[in-house]
Amino acid sequence: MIATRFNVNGEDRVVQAPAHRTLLDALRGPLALNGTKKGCDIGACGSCNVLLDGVVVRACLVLVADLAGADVRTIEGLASDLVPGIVQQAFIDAGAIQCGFCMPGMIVAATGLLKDNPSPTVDEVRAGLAGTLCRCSGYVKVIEAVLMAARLAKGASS
Amino acid sequence: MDSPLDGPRDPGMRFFLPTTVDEAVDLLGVAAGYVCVAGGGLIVPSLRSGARPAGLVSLRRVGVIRNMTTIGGTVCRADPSADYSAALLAAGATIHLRAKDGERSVAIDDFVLGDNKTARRADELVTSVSLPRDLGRGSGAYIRFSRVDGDSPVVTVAVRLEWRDGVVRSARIAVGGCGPKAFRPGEAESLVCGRARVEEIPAALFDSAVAEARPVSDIKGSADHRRRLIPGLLRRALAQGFAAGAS
Repeated sequence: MIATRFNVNGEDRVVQAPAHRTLLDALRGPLALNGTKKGCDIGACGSCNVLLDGVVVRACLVLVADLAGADVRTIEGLASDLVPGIVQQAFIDAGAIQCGFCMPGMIVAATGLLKDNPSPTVDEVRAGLAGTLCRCSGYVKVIEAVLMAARLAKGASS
Repeated sequence: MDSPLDGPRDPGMRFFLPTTVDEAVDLLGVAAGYVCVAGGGLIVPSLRSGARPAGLVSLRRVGVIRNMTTIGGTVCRADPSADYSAALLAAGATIHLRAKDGERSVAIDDFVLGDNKTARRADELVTSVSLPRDLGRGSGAYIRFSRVDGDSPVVTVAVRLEWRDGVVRSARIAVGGCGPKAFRPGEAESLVCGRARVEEIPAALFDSAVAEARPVSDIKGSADHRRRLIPGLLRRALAQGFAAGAS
C-alpha cells in the first residue's frame, strides 16, 4: 500500500492504494468524485478525462502512485459553488446533453482544448475532441457548445 | 487520509519513481520482473486485466512524458498493426537501449522479433528512437486502412524512396498488420528501384508483396481480407511516394 499526496480540485488529499491502482479508481472510490465516468477503462473512450497539471489525460491510465505532488482537476472542479463554468454553461445552452455519460469527459477535453487554443475552428474542435467518444454519436451540438464557449470566454475576458 | 483502496487485497507490488535514466536502469538490473511505466497506455490496461509484475518503474520523473503513450513504449509493445510499426520500419529507425552495463543501438529490422517480442533484454531501457539523418532527402508515404476513421488500422503500408537522377535508387517498403511483425517485401523493394514513374511498376510487385504476407484472421478482418488490401494500399503509398519524389 502506497500513500500518495496530491491536490484534487484545490484540496490536498492523500490516497492509499496498491501500485497498480489508477486515478480513476481513486476518484470513483475513496475520493467520491463520481462525475468522472468509467467507460472502457483502457484509455480508448475519454469518459474519464481529467486535467493533470493542466493537461487532459485519461484517469484510467494514470497510476495513483505516480501522482505525488500533482494537481488534478475533475469535472466537479470546473464549477465553483455549484455555478457552472463557462464551458459547462455552453454545453447546457447548446443542448449538448445526449445521454450524458460522455459529457464530463467532453467538457474536460473542451476545457483543455480552449486553454491551448482559445479560438478554435470547427476542424480544430473536431481534432481536439477526437479522443472522446459519444456512443449516442451526438457530436454536432458538442461542437456547437465548444464554439459557443470560445465566444463566451472571449466576451468575458474583453 | 481517505480510506485505502483494496486494503487486504493489495498484492504488494513494488513501485519506484527514479529521477534519472541511471537510477531507472539500476532498478531494471535488480529484478527481472520489474516493468517500466511511461505513458501508461499499454501497461496500465494490462494491470487492469490482471498482470502483476513484481515491481513498476515509473519513468514519469525521468524524461519528457507528456501524459500520453510514448514512442518507446509503443516500440517495445511491437504490435504488428500499430501505426509506428510499419512507419519506423520503412524509415529505417534505430532503437537506442541502455542497461546498467552499457548502451547499444539496434536497427528496427533486428529489434522487432514478433508480436509483443523484441530484442530488448529485461534489464534494458529504450532511451530513444532515432531516424536516419538523410530521411528528408528522399520521399515517402504512410497509408493505413481502418474500418472506421481513427480506429486502429487493419493493414498499414509505408514506403521510403531514395532518388538519384530522377529514378528510385533504393526503396524501403513495410507492410503491417499482415503477420507477427511488420515486414519488408524484398522483391517488391527491388522492383521499385530504377523506376522514374509509378506507372512503370509491374503488377508482379504487388503479387510478390501479397505472397510474402502471413496474415491471420482476427476480429478486425480475415486473413484473406488483409491480403486483398495490400495491393491497393501499396499502390496508393507508392503513388504518393513517387509524386513527392518527382516534385
